[in-house]
Amino acid sequence: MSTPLPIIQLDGLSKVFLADEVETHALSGIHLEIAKGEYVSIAGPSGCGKSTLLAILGLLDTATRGTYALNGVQVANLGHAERARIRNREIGFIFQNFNLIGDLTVYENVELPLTYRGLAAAEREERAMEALDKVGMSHRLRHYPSQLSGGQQQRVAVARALAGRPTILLADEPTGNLDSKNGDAVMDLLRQLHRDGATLCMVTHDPRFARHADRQIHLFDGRIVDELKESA
Amino acid sequence: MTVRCLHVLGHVLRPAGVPLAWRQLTARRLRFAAAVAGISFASLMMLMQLGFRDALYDSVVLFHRSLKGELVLISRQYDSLADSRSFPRRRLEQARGVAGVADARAVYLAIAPWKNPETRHDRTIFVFACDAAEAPFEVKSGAGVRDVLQRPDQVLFDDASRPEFGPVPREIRAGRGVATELNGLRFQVAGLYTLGTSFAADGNLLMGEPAFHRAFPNRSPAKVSMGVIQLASGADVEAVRAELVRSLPADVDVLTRGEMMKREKDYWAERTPIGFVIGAGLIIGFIVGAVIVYQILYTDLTDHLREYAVLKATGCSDAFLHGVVVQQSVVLAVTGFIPAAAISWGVFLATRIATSLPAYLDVGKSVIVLSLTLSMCVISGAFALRVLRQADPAEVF
Repeated sequence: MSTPLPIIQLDGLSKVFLADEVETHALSGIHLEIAKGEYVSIAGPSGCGKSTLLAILGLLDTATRGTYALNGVQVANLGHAERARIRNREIGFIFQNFNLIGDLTVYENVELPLTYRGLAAAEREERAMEALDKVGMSHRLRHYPSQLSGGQQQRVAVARALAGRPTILLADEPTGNLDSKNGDAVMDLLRQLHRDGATLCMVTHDPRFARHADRQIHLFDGRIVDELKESA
Repeated sequence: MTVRCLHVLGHVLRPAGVPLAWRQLTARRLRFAAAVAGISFASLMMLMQLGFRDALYDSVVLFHRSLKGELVLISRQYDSLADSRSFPRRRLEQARGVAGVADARAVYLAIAPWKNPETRHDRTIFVFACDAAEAPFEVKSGAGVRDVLQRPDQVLFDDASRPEFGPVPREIRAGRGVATELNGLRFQVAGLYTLGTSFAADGNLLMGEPAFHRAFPNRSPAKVSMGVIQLASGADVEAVRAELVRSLPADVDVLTRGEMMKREKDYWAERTPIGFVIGAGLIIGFIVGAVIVYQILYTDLTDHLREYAVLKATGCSDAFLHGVVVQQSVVLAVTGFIPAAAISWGVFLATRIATSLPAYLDVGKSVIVLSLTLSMCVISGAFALRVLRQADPAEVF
C-alpha cells in the first residue's frame, strides 16, 4: 500500500536574515512533513524560529534555501499574487491577537476572505454560517469584535480560518492572549476540529497545549532538536 | 435619522460582499463628517466658478439671442458688445441688394451716464437703439414699443437693471412718470422692457434712432454698430453669407447668430482676465479638494494598516485592497458633492435675486463638477495607496 503524499513537505529549509551585514540564521536545515489530518505543535523558546517557520509555512515569507511543497506543489518560488491566491484557498490562519476587523461584524469578518476569493453570495453565506456554527458563534452574527470576550473573538477568528475550507490550519499561539479558561476552550475547539478531520499546525510555547497535538516538534536555534509522537 | 441614512447609503453602495470601504470610512463619524465638509467645500468652489462662468457667458449673449435675423454684420474691428466699432450704414443698403436677403436693419450700441432719478448720482448704462419702429430684436415689453422708438425724447428702461439706476420699474408700474438725464440730456422713461444684466452692463435702455442721435450727437448717422440681416423665405443661410462676404467690402464681418454668440463668449474667456480668474478658481478648488481627500485617506489607511496586513495574510489581492480605496474615494466624492450641489442651488438663487445674473445649477454643471470631484478623489486615493505597501502580512505573527 502506497503512503499518501504529505500535505506539507519541507526539505533542507533555511532562513537567513541580513541586518547591517550580520547574518542571522533563523532556520537551518529544516526537514518536516505534515500528513493530512495530522495535528502538529511546534514549540521552543523565544527566538528559536517558530514564528519564522510558521510564516514560511503560511507563504507569508520565503526561505533562503531548501524546498517547500504544499499538496505536492512546489511553492517556494511562486510570485506574490500566486502566493496570495494559495493562502486564500489552502491555508487558514489563527493569530495570537485574533486580528479581526474592528469595523466589521462577526459575520462580515468571516465572510470577507470568501468575498475576495470570488465566491457567490449564497455560497459565502452557507460557508460563513457553517463555520460560525462549528465554533458556536452563530448567535453573535451582528456583534462587533469589541462587543465580544477574547475567547469569543478567537472563536470568530477560527471560524474565519475554517470558512475557506483550507488544506491546513496554521495557529500562532492561539491562546497567548486568553485567560486559562478561554484558552482551554479554544484548545478544546481546535482538538474537536482535528477530530473532525482538520490538519493543524500550531506554534505554542506552552507545553500543556503542545501535548494536545499528535506530534510535538521542538525547535532550538532554528533547528528541529526533538520530535515526540503521542501514542494513540 | 442621520445614522439610519448612513446605514441605508452604506447598503446601497455595498460592493459585492462586505462593505469594508464604507465601514472603515464611516467608523469615525466626526472625521468622516469633516472629510465630507472639506470635499463639499471644494465641490462648491468648482460649482460656483462654473456657475459664474456660465452666468457670464449667458448674460453677455442675452442680446444676441434676441436678434431677429439669421445673419449679423459687424465691423471687422468689433471686439464685443461693450467695445463694438461702427461701420458705414451703406453696407446695409448693399446687403439688401444681395439675393436671398429680405431686410438689413441697423442697431446702435453705446454707453452713457444715466442719472439716478432719486439720488441724482450718475452711473454708466448700456444703450441699444434701432433704426425702425419695429426693432430687429425681440423686445419683451408691455409698453407701446413702436411709439417709443419713434420719439426723440423717450426710452424704455430694462426692468432687470440693477437698483443703483434708481427705482424706475417701481415708479413706472405705479403709473408715475420718470424723467431723468442720459448723457446730460433729459429723457422720459415711457415704459419697461426686459433684457437682463451682464458682467459688461448692469443696466440697459432701449430707444429709437431719433432718440439715439439726440443723445449722442457726435455719432454719425452714416455709421451703425451692427446690422441684422433677415433672409427671404427658403434662402440658404450659408449661400447668402458667402454672397455677402463676396460682395461687401472687407471692413465688415458676416456672422451667423451662433457665431456671433461664440465670438462674444470667446472675447470674455480669452481676452479678459475673467476667463483666467474663473479657470484658476476651478483649479484651486480641485487642488484643495484633492489635498483634503489625500489627507483623509492617508490617515484612514495608516490607522487600518494592521488590518490590511491581516487581509493580505489571508490572501486578499492588491487589486481588492486598491478597490477598497477606490470605493472610499467614490463614497467621499458622492457624499461631498450632494451638499455642495444643494448649497450652490441656494447661492445661485440668491445671486439671481441680488444681481439678475442668469446663474443656475443645471445638469451639465452638475455632471462636470461631479466628474471633477470623482477624479479628484480617485487621484488622491491613488496617491494614498502607496501607504498600503507598508502593510506587511509577515508582521501579523
